[in-house]
Amino acid sequence: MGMDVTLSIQDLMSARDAVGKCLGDLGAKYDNMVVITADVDVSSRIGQFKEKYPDRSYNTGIAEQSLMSVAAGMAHEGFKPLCFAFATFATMRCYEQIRTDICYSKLPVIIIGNNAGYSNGISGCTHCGLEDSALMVACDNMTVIEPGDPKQIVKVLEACMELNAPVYIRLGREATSSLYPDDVKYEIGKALIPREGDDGAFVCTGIMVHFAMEAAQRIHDELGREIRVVDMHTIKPLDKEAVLAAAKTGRVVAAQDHNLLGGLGQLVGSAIAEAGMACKLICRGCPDEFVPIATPEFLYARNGMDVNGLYEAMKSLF
Amino acid sequence: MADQQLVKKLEKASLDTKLRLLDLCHQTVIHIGGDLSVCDMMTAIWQYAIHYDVKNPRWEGRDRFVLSKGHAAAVTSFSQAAIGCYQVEDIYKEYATDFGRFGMHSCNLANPYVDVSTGSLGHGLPVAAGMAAALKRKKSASRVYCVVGDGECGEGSMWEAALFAHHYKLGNLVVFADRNGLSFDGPTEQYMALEPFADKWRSFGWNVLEIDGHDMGQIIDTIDALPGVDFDRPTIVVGRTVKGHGVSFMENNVSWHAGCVKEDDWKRAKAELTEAYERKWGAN
Repeated sequence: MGMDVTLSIQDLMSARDAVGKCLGDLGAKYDNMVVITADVDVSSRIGQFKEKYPDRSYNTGIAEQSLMSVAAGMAHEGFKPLCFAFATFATMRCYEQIRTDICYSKLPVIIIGNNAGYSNGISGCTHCGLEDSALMVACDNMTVIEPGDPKQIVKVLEACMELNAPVYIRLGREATSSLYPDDVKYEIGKALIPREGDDGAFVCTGIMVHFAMEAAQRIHDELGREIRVVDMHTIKPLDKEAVLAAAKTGRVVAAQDHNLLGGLGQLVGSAIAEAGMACKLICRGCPDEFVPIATPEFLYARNGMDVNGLYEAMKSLF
Repeated sequence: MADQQLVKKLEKASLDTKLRLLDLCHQTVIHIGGDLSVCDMMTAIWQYAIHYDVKNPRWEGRDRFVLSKGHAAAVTSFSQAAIGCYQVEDIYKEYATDFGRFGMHSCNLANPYVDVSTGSLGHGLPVAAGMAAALKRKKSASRVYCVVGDGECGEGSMWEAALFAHHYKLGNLVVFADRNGLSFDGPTEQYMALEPFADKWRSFGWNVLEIDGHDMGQIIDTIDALPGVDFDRPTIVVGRTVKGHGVSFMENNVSWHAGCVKEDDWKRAKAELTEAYERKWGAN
């Protein structure tokens, strides 16, 4: 099928805008797809889908437990629900519903958590999804995805629809550029490498991939070293092959806009240790403290997760 | 007014299930209190109301069943056995065994006659509401029957589902509430008051029917008069019941929420239930 997402490579786009843009086409391709939100129709950009398929759009009101259980019920009956809520509320308020009602029966429910990480820092702690990845990774049968490239969303969603199993997709708010040419192959569980290099490797998700790309460029310009960037868009199941290949460079900086505890860095570190490999490793993410009200830029810089922070982290390994 | 032969037949069926529950309860631990309180309504649902094909539990045209009070798994299994889903002996053999089909709560992975796994309270009704919304989308003539406990109505998710089912006009959703008045710790009115229970559902816009949950005639009449699936409101049948119903030492006794009954009590309990039936209908 031809999906009409007319974005040039220079266009900046947030992931949620990209989702909204492709939902209509996705709905045409999958007539058993329904969209359910918990009072975030506008914020999740589902307007186009709702207009095209009013009878396939549901809104539970501000009730995330209901959102997940209703989605489970619809999936039991052969529908494929896409559920939208903010990452915090989509995973914590209704954790047991996701675990027991959806994951236990391996139902094809796709959950999209917006405002993941520090990306909505100005809204404060309640609105920063910093535990969602860890919680979802801990659920059996759950696939966890954090795309690095908004333009990939179409392919991500199609792959998720074909997976026929529970998926959690965490999305930040930031608008970013595209990292890949249009024809890049997207496969769940298979990391993408937007930049090659054998002197070290960044292993990242989401917005961190973009920061790592810039940091790798700076290292090339200033130190003459070639750093690989691994876009670990699938957090679970982790692409261990890509992790071990990164570890072979001897220097890995793993970064995720998420709590360090239970985040990507720990998964990467454990994969390397289990393989019996020796490698210098720095993990970047949110420390074990609650978030103050602050801009994402401030928070990324404060915790060494911005371009400069990642640059310094990698540099320190040489 | 329900046909008296039908009432007798279903009361006998309910007695049979109660005696089997006690046999199982003599063998191992089951949630006997809540099994007995919902047994009469459960019997009528499975042996009278439901459209079902035991040869094909995935039949698209079947009525769905969701046990929101998932701990009433034993009474559900015996009611299903009565229509041929399994042999009664299978339940004695497999209950609470390694990878058995039957346990303290219902499991859809182990048992194809279970539509939805339940056990954690406050989950079944919202899932049932999702199924009802899906069936409505499919323009199905099937109903979703859902059995809820009164204690689980302390879970906020029940009331989220109550909002959803009303908003989306799920006339195909029929809930039976086992209002036995006791949760795990004691009387609901003492620990977390639920009254006015029926009015709460009315205020959420539901079609509320209040009955004596042990009066088989009333249960049948209620089922006969249920609105069609295209009705604009979900229905809840609030059955006033007694936890441990029919067994003197179990009735309204929180210590019989779950347990295993010893030899003397087992015989006494079965005798009490049988005598009550025979007083009403005679020994045959």
